[in-house]
Amino acid sequence: MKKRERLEIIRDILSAINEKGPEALPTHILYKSNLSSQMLKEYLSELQQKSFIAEIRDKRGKVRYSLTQRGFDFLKDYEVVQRFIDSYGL
Amino acid sequence: MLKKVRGVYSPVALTHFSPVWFRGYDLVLEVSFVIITFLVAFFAVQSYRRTLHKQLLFFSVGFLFVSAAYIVEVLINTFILLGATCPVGCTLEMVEELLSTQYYGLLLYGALMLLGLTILLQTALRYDSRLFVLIVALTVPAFLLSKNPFTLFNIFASVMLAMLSWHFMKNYWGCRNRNALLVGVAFVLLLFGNVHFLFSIKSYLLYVLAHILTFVAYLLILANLYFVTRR
Repeated sequence: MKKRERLEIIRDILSAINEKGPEALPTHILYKSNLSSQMLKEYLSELQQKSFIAEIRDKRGKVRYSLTQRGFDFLKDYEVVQRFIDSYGL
Repeated sequence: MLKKVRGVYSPVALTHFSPVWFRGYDLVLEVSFVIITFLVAFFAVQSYRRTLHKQLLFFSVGFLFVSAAYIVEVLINTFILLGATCPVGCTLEMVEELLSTQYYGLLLYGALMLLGLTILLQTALRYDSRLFVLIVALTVPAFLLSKNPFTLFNIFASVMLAMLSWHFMKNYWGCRNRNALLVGVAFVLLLFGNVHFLFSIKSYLLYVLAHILTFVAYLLILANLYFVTRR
């Protein structure tokens, strides 16, 4: 099976949040993105740093994630950008 | 072959090899190269802003350098075109100035193009960044200090284009995708165009052919951009 590219993994994480939207639990993202919990933790932290997602904590301290405008833009343009990347093999 | 003008070797005999009937047309084609390479750079940087995928940023910078090189080429050829009407009332000083401006313009064009191609190579092949520094440190000064920069530039550029063509064709064989084929064929044509430029001192026809091959290559790159952005 072909190894997933980094951008594909990011797309899968953002799609998982978007499907569940407006907020998704880490367990749901983990299940949908098919990553190890350590890998997911790293990706979520990076996506948060780059403002693709926002972390929300409820009163009980439970963490959820939601998409930011940048995250929505990524999903909207992903196919086009991926076609561009694939055509040049970047 | 080279004339010594104000202490520098003027490559006028090497740069001014366009047949008279083609003058002006080459300029139009070169303007189209500027526009297409700029469009690719612009699209790549927009894509980077959406995804923050670093390769796209480097790729955009590479194409920006190539675009800047073509802008310099357009300026040189405009200068030659305007200078071609000069001889009626031209003084020797004016001719000398024309030659030396062409020479330095050519150096700038070559340096920008080599930098652009090196960045594209680094982005496509993803080699060690120290190797990138080494290639730039070897090629650009060698080109700038050479007594025959035109030939040296074309040799360096041909090697780089050959490596890029190999990468893009390999990419096509891996994915069998129409867009990848367009890019692969485009870079093979750019390579052939560059090789024709190398020998164009021997024939005006090769200069024309090189321009046409390069133009077709950039049309394919534009077609790829169209297919990529079509939703």
